[in-house]
Amino acid sequence: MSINRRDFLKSSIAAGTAATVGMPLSEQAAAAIKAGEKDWQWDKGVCRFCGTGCGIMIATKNGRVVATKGDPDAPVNRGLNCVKGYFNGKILYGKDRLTQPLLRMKDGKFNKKGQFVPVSWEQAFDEMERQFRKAYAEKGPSGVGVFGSGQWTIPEGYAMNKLFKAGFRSNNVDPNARNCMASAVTAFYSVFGTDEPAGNYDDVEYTDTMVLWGANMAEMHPILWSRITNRRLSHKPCRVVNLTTYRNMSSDIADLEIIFKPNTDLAIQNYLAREIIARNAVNQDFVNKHCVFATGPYDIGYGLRPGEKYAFPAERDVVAKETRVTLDRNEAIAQRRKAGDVVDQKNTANPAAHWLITFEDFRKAVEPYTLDFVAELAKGDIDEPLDKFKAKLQQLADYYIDPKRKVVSFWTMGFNQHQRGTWVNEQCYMNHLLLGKQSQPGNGAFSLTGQPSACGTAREVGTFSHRLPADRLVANPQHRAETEKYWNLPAKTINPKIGSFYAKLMRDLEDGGLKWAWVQVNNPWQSHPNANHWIKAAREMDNFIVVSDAYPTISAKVADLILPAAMIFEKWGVYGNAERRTQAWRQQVYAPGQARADIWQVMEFAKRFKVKDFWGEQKVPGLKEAGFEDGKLPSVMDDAAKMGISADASLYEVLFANAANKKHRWPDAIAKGHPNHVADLLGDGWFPEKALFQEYVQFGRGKAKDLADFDVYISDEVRGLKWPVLVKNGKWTETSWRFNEQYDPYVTKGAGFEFYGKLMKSIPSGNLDGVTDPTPKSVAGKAKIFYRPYAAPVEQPDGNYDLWLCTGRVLEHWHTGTMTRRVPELHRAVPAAVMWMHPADAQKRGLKRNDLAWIESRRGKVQARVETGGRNTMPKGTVYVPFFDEGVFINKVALDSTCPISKESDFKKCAVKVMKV
Amino acid sequence: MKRKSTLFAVAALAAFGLSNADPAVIVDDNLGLSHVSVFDTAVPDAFDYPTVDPKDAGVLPRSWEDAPPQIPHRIDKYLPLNAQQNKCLDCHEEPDKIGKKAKGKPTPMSETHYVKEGDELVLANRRYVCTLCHTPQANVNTLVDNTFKGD
Repeated sequence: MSINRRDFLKSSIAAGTAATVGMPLSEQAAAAIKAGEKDWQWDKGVCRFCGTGCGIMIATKNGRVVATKGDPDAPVNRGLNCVKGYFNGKILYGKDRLTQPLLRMKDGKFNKKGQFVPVSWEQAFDEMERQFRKAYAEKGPSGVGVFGSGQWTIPEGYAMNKLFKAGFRSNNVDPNARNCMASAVTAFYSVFGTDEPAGNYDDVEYTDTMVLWGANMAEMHPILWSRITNRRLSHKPCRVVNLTTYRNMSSDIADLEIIFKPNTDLAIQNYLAREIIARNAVNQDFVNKHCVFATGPYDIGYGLRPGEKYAFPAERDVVAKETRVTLDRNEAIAQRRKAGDVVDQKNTANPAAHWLITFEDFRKAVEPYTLDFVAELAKGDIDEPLDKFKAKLQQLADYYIDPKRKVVSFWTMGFNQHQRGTWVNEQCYMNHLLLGKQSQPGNGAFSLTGQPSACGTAREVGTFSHRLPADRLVANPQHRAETEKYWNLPAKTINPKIGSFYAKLMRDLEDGGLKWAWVQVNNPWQSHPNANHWIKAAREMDNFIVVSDAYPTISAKVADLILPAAMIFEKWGVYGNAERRTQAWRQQVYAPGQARADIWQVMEFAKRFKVKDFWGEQKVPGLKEAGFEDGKLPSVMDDAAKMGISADASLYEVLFANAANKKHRWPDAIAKGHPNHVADLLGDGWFPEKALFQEYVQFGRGKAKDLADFDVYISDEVRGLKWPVLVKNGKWTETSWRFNEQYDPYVTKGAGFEFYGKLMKSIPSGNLDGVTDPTPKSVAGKAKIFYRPYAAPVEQPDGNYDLWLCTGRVLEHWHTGTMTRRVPELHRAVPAAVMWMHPADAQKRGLKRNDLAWIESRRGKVQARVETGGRNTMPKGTVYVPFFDEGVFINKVALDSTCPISKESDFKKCAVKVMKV
Repeated sequence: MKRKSTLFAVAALAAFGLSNADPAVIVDDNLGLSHVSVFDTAVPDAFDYPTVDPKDAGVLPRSWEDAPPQIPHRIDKYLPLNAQQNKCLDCHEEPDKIGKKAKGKPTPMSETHYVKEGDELVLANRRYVCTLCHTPQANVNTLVDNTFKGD
């Protein structure tokens, strides 16, 4: 029997999943796969979209991607992709790909009020350089900045981080990941002393109970959801709980759905802690050996820009709460104060401070969080009877506490994008630690992440304004010194003053502090909340904004210079996913026209500057640091000369194409014939992505952040490895569960568990009201169980703005839709953002499904169509609008309050009014 | 949004008279998918998903031969898809007809969606939530053409 083309194609896809589902392929079908694919070149890749990090296989022919499929060998997805993931190949081929640099010009010259004119790369870099020098001369290192990304590849983020922090001596690099998982990071630091999850995705198959806290995984992590669904349907005792502010697709598989009011997750967590204590369920052995108790100040503000100067008139009442808050009844109970107390927010400058407390203090603190108090406060659906809601909370406590149950808590943006994001993350660990259900297969609090390399590039490489690679901090002199060593820099090259976080970069543009900004692999002007401010800042202030992107985005529209970027499979890359898995791919095809990889853009720009341009003395207003003269970075030119670095050497030669890096030669056998347009264009015989990765891995080795070599990740046998990766019996071996002696080589023998992270492990002691003994005490090896109180949202519905607005994603589109909306199948699946609303709320406003409505907040307004059915069911009083659609520019409406500790924006709650158009 | 955006484009061209004369100039308002100034408000069109019943629906073309098939018919009648019910399976779970789509009949799920239990093919639970990969397609124009070609 002959097998026709369609059959073997079917077989090839079958091969992609047979391993997962257990269907053996016939020999005939297997042979057909080989025969049929002879003119296709298959290679492994990683999905471009969410933080799950699915493996895909990419087929190319004649220089174009012709098909993709789920990678059967990828342990994350085992052959399956979600609908977005299947269209990875197609995102490259939108007809309006940017293929040449575009500069705003008038009369043949750059002009901020001009329109876009195609220019050569040379002209583009000329203007970029001219504007950079002007900004730097006027404002110094803080006058220039980068809006980076959790979608940067690891070498890309590493290169930009190094150019800025080492070359330009500016820490103004911050990724959109700030708006995605910064609260997760600050909690990992404060609780464990080191970033990133203890567990991995296999927890799904080991557990009995999965609790989703503000994570609509059915839409946002579809492939993990397929694993959860499988576990729920295949393992009888398995139960799934969905805690959310509205009913979503995840509720369809859940056994228990808890609809709560915004911010009351803080109270529900404390109710659980109270129950654990009340039911004598504290795992005393675990807690005594491995944990301590801690708390911190409550009066930390809401991360808003203080003062009225830049606020729109309508914003002023909310902005005023940044400095002074009147406690409501619930906050008063929760914080053991009186309703109506006026609290000056005195700790906005030091919100992360914390100190040890006793278990007895902790017990006292959670005492007010009774079932009655919390149920009344937290019930989010006005139509649900209170008794029913109470029973649900009790059921939730039963699930957590049952000694026979393993429990995994998952969360993403509901916790992270939260005015108390760090607190609520810490609270989740609080309950897992109290129960001793942490860092074991099937037991643990598991912070998921949103972007494909938020972990790999943003967190591990440390492309934040306060971070350096592998858990190092800008503010720590020893960390700076280590970084200077690995980067071969003179001492004191790195600026000790942390840079501006993402929201502050925007605010700096608005007040004229930032004069030059470069955006790579993200779309801040669509994705950052309270957008009207930032649009005005970009278009009306004297500044120069460069946007590198593959497609014309909203950010490109407000830019002064647009640089055409190569997309994922048009370059070599490495991503790190949410389970610490590092995965790499080769360039598969060439980018169209003159589009070039971001890393090439960084290096070409670096060629234009000399060491002496930046390494002399630099004024840095506000710099105060031991060992530094106030307001100044010292000249390091003499030390540089001693190290053999010439004053006239270019930053490209010193930071990138130096002797050590040039040892990694291009071409390289691991390419297996695949091109590298970056190496070819640079033309000096080295392999930049590999060389920079090999330089980077030094940072983590021996520090429990060990990565394998670049070639290991590229090799055909490997589908990513979970760090720390150490050589064991001659083989690179990954770590599945951190802090657990059975799995983690970094745990001291005999300790059982050890929370060995080193950050914030020396803290003062006190009580619930403050520090009583400032002497720092070591809590090495322990995790901290934090008490954190309920706090009310800074902006809540009132008589005028009478509805809650929640924003987020949809399954079919990625972030701001710039790639997925150019795939017809995905566009037709969800053509526009709609406003989900309760039918009664719609009716009250004279609206019905598909009507056009205004959505207006103190900050701005947009129009959207009303949806009263479909995948989400809103409780009365709450509307949901996704942010992917630039035609429904919901971030003009959303609030730019942040968690004061993490500086991550809260996209999940603000007050709006809705009117018929 | 179409008519509105044309109006905006015309307005933009008029405002930047020069750009009309110089085809190389790209007016910022016309960039991207919404074709309005970043200072203005776009007006989204209404859209609807197919209301055709499965028996009257054809089969949608696939982008490449083994792209996941998208749904040509209404699904609102068959939702919710939850742990207790999955009405998609009522029609599409046909392990005896894998690869044998008959005209006017449901498309049988491919072999990738099953596991073998003894001699019997049963649904792979990881494939249970159909809408993770298969979505109904609204009757709207594409925003931008796509030049991808399956081999």
